[in-house]
Amino acid sequence: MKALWRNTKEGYGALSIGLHWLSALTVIILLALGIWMVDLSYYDPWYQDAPLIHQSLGLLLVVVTIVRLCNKMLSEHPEPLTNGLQHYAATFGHQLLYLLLIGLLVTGYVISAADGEALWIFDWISVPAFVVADSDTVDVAGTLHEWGSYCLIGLLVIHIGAALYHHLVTKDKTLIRMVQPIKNKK
Amino acid sequence: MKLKHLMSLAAVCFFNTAIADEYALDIKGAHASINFKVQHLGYSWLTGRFNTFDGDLTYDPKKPEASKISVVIDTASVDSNHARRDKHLRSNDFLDVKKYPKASFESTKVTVLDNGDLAILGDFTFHGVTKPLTINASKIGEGKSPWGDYRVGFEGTTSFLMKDYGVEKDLGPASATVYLDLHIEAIKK
Repeated sequence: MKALWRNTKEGYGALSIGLHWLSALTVIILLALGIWMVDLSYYDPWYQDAPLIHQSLGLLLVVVTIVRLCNKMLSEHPEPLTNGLQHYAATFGHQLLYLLLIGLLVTGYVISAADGEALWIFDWISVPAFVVADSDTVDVAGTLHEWGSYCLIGLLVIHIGAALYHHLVTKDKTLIRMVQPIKNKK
Repeated sequence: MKLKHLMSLAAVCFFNTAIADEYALDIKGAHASINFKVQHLGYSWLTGRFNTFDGDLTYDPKKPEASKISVVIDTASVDSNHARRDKHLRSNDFLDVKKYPKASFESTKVTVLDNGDLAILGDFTFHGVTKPLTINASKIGEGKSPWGDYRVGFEGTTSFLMKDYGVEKDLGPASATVYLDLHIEAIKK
């Protein structure tokens, strides 16, 4: 029995699982970093570096998210383990997670690109500023980025709570199949 | 006799308003600028400006102490040549432009100094706080322009502590004071 890369009707492949947890880790680091860095004093040694790290990780997450969305569109979707209202709530919740994630990536980019100069992923790769927004737009992007982050934290708490509920209360395979890739039965 | 008195009083009144000519800042031609500078870490000056403002003044070269000036600044027009810093300056750490979209200066008393410069005392409203502030000004020149109007120009400097106006963000001891460099040209109405 060999672990599969691609999804099947029965479960997730290693690619989807890997992308999910890579995203999860990056999102949690970004949220924590973001909340911490906005209150740094002007004389804090991290005042310059923390936003640069936040921006670099954010740009890497853009790449991961594009790959993830392509994979989602091109892959088979495992059969849902729930039905009825619970299934619709789960689908809606997941779509909202994607929407918030994309919204945060877009607004983050708009804020970072406001100077019209290339953005850097650490010191490795420069990303051009495709969109140079005016000051009103940048301020709106900033507000949306802040409140979008709080919404995402709230939704993540529900997401994690739901996963634990499936694992510990209803004792189904919802969480397990996001950890263990589906195996080839042949 | 009584009528004559009244007439001379009216003449004085009329005379008084007529001699102090009214001017508007040359906003269209952008011959006026409101610049600021703040020390960075105590090692250098960070300079910037407000791009949008408007104002009027009255001025009589024979009676400069009767001059008046009022200027209203659009705080969101702050420009330090760095978009992300400008975003921070507009935020509630500094200008809080959503809450305080305007800053203004309204002169209350003009004193002519021994060297001919003007000490312009006025009410400065910034970050929602109004306090008296003195601008030290001097006239650069006045006269007809080649395009048919009459102009006068001044420069002025002043400074204030950010925390006096409720801006609590700490940029360090060297950076507590904002210095303003003002250059205005006004066209007679």
